[in-house]
Amino acid sequence: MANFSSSDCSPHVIDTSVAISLDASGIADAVLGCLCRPALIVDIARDELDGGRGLGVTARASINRWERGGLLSIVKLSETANDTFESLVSGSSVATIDDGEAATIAHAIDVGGIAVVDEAKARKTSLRRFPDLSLSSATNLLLMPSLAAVIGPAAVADAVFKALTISRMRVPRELHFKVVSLIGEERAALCHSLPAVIRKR
Amino acid sequence: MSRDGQDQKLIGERLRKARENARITQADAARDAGMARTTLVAIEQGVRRVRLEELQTLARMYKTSANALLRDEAVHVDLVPRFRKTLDAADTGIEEAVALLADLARAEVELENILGIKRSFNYPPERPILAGDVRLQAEQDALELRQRLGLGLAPIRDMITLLEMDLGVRVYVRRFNPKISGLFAYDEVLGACILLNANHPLARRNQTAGHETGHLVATRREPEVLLDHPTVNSREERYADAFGRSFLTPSRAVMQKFHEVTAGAAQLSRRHVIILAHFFGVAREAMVRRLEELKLAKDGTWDWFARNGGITDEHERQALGDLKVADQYKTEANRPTTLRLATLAAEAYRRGILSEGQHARMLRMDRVELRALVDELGNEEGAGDGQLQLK
Repeated sequence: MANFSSSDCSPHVIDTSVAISLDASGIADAVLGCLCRPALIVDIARDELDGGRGLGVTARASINRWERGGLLSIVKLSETANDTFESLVSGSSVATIDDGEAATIAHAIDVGGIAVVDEAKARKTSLRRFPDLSLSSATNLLLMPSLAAVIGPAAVADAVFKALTISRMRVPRELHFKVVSLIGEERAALCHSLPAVIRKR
Repeated sequence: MSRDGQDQKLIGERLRKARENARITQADAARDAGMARTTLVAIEQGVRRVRLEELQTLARMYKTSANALLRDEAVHVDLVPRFRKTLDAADTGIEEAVALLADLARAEVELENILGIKRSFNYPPERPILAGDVRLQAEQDALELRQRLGLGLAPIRDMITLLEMDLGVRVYVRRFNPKISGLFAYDEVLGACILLNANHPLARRNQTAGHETGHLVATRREPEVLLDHPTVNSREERYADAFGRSFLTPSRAVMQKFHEVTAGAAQLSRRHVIILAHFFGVAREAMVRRLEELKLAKDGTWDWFARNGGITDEHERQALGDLKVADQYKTEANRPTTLRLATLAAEAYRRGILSEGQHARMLRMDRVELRALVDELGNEEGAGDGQLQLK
């Protein structure tokens, strides 16, 4: 797996669930503002939030706002990306992922960008099929040193806690301990999206 | 699944079913997708290969995904069009109820298939309605099914468990338009499916389930909607009504219990009705009407009660006290999906068989709702470590 680094100026292509988690964190503008270029979201991933409920509705409105503020661009898949997309959505249930997740990965490959995906199966699929693709997550973005430098570590910790409790943000396994040490064991115990073994330490 | 060769036909068929389930005409779909109607016809017939962009456009229009259309194990059925006759009637929320039933059954079957779960079906033999008195036929068939299930004359307090466990019928109790009591549909892929309204009291739902069981026995190839105030009085409906009554309140059992409950009394009281209705798990009105039918009460008895203050829930509380049965299904219906579907989905999630997006779309759930459901069931990877292992 390629390492994500905040100094990497490759475009970040964010998935639907990442948009929801960043929105729930309450500091999405600051997060996206720390990237060296506007983040990207494929129209297919954004459209998943159409006609949704709850946090999906607010995330959809936030995407429009981020776009207006120049923090995010909505993109369409190219012909080449469409071929990758099709290979990710066709086949057995085990081997495929949903449209938004597939579109995010396909576009990131196409533009040499970083796929920002929280969903475990999509991440596994990406690692297996495209080992050279850089993967990131909403947690990675929230933990960027450049963000802490702007808003301070305590605000970052509060934002991570909000994303965990409001949107039940999925945290990649390798970041579990980092997240717990950031928000503290007391707050971690309240985050049901963290594995029980981490929460109950 | 690829868009070429043999799969082309299957994808065309899936697109047709998705369009029909979305209740969009070929003409409208073709116009909105910017293609000739003949092109869409050729795609749906599997004669012309659908381009990926076309597939994406159509999927969005039909509120599905390219993955749902191209995933090998995806279950595609056309339940909605089968209710067309009923759907053309006045708008009573039937369309939404049919779509709900189709979504639940489709998701359950696909999850069962990918998890390798084999459901056992034990449907009763079909008994087509013959010429002559439908009520007598229904009574005979209901008693036959009772014998087959080894019920004798015992009351059936929980029709749902009986239908699910003893017959293998897929039963869902969800909240939808109160004007609709229930739906019945049979499909080769899904099997027999019943949707019951959680907005109705338990006893009413039992009766609806009894009525729909009548359709399973006599007219299972015909989808059916039971309205709260039915307007159709066909032979099929009269059969199903009579079947439900005989199945839940067999004449011999009612006579026997009536004799026992009213022993020494000079007239039928509210308390008698409440005890009998409670015993058989049916509504108070249904109980009185059954007593009238069996000549255990005078014709017009229910109307008399209705004119004189009715038999209320308060009367029932006074008569039954703690004996009133809790309605677990009503509570379960407040959750985003059924417990069985939630359990299947959580297992597929834990094993990484389906992604979050696939799950959310299949269960028609918001992603955060889905995460909450999975977290509640404690199904993150490794959750079972150190716990008791099933063989």
